[in-house]
Amino acid sequence: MASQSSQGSKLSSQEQSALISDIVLYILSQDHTKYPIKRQDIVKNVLKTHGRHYKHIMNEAAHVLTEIFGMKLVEIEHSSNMKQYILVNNEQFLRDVSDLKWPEEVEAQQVLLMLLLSLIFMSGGVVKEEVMSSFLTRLGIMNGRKSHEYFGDVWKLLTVEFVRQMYVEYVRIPESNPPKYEFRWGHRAKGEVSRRELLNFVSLVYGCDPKNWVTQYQEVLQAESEKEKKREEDGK
Amino acid sequence: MAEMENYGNGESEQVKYVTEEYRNLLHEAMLLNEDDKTGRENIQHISSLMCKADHLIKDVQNLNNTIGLLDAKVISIGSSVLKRTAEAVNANLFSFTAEEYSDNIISYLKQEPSVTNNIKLICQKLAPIAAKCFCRTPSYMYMLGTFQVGEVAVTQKKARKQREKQEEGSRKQPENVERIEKQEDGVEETVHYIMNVVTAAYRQNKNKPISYFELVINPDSFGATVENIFHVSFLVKDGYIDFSWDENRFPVIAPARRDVIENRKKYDQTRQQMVLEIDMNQWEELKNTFAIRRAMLNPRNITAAQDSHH
Repeated sequence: MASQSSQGSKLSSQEQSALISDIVLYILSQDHTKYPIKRQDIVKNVLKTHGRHYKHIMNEAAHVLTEIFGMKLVEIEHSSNMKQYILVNNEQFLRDVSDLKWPEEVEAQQVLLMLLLSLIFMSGGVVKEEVMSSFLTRLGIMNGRKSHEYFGDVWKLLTVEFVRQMYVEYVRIPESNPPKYEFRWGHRAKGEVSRRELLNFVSLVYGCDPKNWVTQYQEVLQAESEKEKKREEDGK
Repeated sequence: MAEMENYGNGESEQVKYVTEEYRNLLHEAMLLNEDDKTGRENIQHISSLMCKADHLIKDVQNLNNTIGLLDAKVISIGSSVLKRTAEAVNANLFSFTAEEYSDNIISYLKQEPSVTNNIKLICQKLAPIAAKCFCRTPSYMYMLGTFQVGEVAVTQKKARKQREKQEEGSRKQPENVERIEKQEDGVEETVHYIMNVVTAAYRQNKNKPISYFELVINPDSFGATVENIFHVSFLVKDGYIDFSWDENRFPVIAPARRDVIENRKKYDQTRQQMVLEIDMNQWEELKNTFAIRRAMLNPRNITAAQDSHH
């Protein structure tokens, strides 16, 4: 029976659950680079000939990731023919388990990301590359293209690694000649980073109340209500 | 305004003039864009530019492509300057600047009592705060995950090594072929040498046939004996040597006469064949019977014989 149904349009429940768990394992293992996972690769490496069941099986796999692993699979519409996914952890879970220990490399990258994402956030969403580099130089994190003892090659992280991981977007300013670039938040930052925590950090450093930053505080509230709305939609 | 004075001097004059004015406006706008300032004067400057453009375009009756393009460009650059200015104003509500932010971060870190000037320690201090900002998923690795990759790498290496070996082999080949040719030459040379020895011995023996075994047997080596028999068989087959029996029924040989050889070649008469069986015991026996102490044929002399030929 099983072999017959694999040729037909319907999958047996055994085959289906095998494919779902394969996809879950594949996504979990691919996630460690933090690069987005392409639909194309999932079909090529896991589903193979069962490509036409993609939508159904992916929905089930996302369900498993949420219910069992507590992670959210976020779809990114890169372009119409290239779907990509990133994994985002459960906020509530991380708040409860605050002593989760990260490797030193990850710690360093998170410090760096917090600094530069908060700068972008506070500056209204865009920062020019000259501002970014002078900011990091002032903090003593970046010194030309010299490798930092704690962070490594900071500029390469910013313009290559973080871009690939979708924490930041590093794009050319249109009609700039010679080309100038600016930094914005990437898709992963939007999914993974808490604006409230960033604003809390900035306020801590400034020694003031987060609500004093009227524009930014407004944005925090807006982002949180949007997230809440989405969660309700997903729940239904 | 200046442009009003020239109004009414004919349509083509007017178009020319408006185009020229637009070029100036565009140039000014581009200068503003490059200036990168976001102050209040900037906004006023841009608005005066826009007013001028508006004024110019109102008077044009026949819009042509050049003016349309210039107008679009002025508006596009003007709006990008305004957009940047607006973004700057937005952040300025509670006066946030990158410089102030970085200075505050540094002074905040220096407040911490345990922190020294060590950058690494300072950064590590921020790590727990930073971790709170992210909903990062932990890495998930298979314990057996890397094994498959390892195998693939090994097979690739093997394939490369084999290719290298094959290349070396093909380089050597020409040498091998030469050597084989030399060996074949060697057989011919040996046969020639034997023929010479036989002829010489025949003459020494007053033109009487010589004992086959005395010629062939090498008392020091059974192998050399077999080789000699093999080489002589060529001579017999090709008719250069006549084979017969002496009074004691032992085989004797004599070089064939030249005219006989040529006749044989011409008419291709039935060839002679020689079949001889010899083993170690027979070799020992023959050696003793004929009391052979020295080999008549010595393959090592071939080179010497060759030299005498040339």
